[in-house]
Amino acid sequence: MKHKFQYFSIGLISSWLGIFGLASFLIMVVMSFLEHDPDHIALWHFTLENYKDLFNPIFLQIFLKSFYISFLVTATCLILGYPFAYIMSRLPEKLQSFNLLLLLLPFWTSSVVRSYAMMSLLKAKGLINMILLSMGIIHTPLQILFTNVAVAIGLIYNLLPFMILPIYANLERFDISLIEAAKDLGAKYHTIFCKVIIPLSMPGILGGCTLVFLPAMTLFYISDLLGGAKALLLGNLIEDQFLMANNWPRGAATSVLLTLIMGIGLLIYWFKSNKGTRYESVL
Amino acid sequence: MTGKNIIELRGIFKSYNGQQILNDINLNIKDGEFLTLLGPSGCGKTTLLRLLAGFESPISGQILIEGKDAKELSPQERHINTVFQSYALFPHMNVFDNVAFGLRCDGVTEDAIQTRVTEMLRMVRLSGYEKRKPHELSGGQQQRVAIARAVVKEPIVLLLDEPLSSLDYRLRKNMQIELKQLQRKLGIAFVFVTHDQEEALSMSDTIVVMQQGHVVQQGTPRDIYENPKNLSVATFIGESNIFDVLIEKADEKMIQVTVQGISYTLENREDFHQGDKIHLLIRPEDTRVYHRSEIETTEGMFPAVVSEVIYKGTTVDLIIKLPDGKLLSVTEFFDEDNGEDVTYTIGESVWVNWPIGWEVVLPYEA
Repeated sequence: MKHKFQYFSIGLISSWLGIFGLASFLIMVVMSFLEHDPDHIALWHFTLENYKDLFNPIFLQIFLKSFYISFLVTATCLILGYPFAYIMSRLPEKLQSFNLLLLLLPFWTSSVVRSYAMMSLLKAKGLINMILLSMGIIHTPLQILFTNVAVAIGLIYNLLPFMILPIYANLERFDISLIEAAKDLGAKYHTIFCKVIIPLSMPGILGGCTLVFLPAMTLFYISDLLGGAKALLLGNLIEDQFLMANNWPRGAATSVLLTLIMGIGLLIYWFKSNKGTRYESVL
Repeated sequence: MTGKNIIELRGIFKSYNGQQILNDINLNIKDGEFLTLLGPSGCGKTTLLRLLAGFESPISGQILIEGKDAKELSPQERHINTVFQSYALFPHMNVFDNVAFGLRCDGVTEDAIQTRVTEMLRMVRLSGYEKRKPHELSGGQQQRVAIARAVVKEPIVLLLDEPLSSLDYRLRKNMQIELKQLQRKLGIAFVFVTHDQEEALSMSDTIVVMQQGHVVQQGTPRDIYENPKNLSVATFIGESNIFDVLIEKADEKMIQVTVQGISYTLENREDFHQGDKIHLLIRPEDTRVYHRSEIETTEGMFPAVVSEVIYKGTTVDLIIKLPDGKLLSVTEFFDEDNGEDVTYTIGESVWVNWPIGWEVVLPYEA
């Protein structure tokens, strides 16, 4: 009975992922090698043209810009998220779960809806400008909405929990006696932090960075809503090619390239975190 | 061998969430001595160790380290190092870097570190393991890295928190000897925490017996074993056969009691009076049993029946049953010289006594 249920649930998930994950990805891979035709989705004719197109300067520029924004967003999330995760992991257990609840609370509302809410906060007559104006800090409303800053704020806001959670999960299991041992051996606080805590929480940091960096390149609706009509992120580029340019093969090629980059990132993470579990088995 | 006091604890109190952990602890640690804090889990011995290391501070009382008030010394500043129960080796560093960690914190030059760490690893017999990570070592090797990492800092006192508890029996025995040898070689004081009385007896210069946050007794292993201060110390350190009896007659020198219908006159060591209730303790190895054929008279002996025979190699342990149903433990050593017959069968009748004067007499505790 138990076995049947196991096979059933594993089978269900496997076929779900097989059909909607793997199969659609394979269709995408095939599509990326097909010829573009304005009247059809694609022509059944092998070509490398779509990948060659990606090396044109405009694409490359968007690519680099998207990388740059994702990098800034990831760095900011790390700087904001690490101390948060660290402090949370040191709280009494009850407060920890309460904080965890607060952290996950925003997920109860759709991220698109929350991005609209953010628009009304950031716009020229929005809450932030109103407050700053009434306090006399500024005299003309700040133009935040439809700028890169707004996109960055939106991305950081949406992705911060994905940085905090893996780091928190790592630090929560951290063996306090290692910190005591370091103190005992005469280590000052910055030495303990740099030489003991950071290296040992590396799997969590890498996990968090992967979970922030990759979506930060593709969350096109945030860039659409907060950044105006500019194609800022790689996600927008892909969206545009499918929906605006109606060039499915090239959109597919862009997607495949991005997937490749993600794959490499995840491989590095997997390799590092495996090492991490080996460490933990000793503790 | 042991010298002046290097650590003094005066009237130390400590509590967590209203629960008293340490109660008026007064203790001196002498230079170069092997001092063991012995007690059941929860007696406060680990907390006491953490106070010495500086991870906790007392609610009241004073700790003097080399004459200086410890309140002003952070764990980093104390010349005291700890071997943690879980070893707490840095899992991301190899053996060399683990041992070198403390020296690097002190700003020792890399040249000097190289020499000192190499020498230290040789001392704990881990030469050639410099590049290994902790998880590639056995439990005993990890233990030795933990010791090397602490000792390389040349502390005045090394604190060891139940360091042998996670090792198997044989390795534990070996490490006991190694630790004792290391301590002699280094000549520094060791404060060793354990709940294992055998370990405490075999390794220590001084044993401090702790119970429920109090120091109950302090002395040499022999002192504690032979003259336990109260019933709980006596029963915690080794096995005992206990008779609860009433003193029938007493003067300054003698007390008279009746055990199993036989009247005994014993030395009055603690100013007992007539009518006092006492515990009469006889260690299993001091309890003697005889076959009827081995003795000429049964005077001063009481009868018993062998109810269990446990062969242990160097000893034979017996459990014997007295006529009133009380069970006693007896340990007989194989002694080839006096040709004593140590073969017993279950159900056999024997006669029991003990060398008068080897008993321990303690005031009665309810």
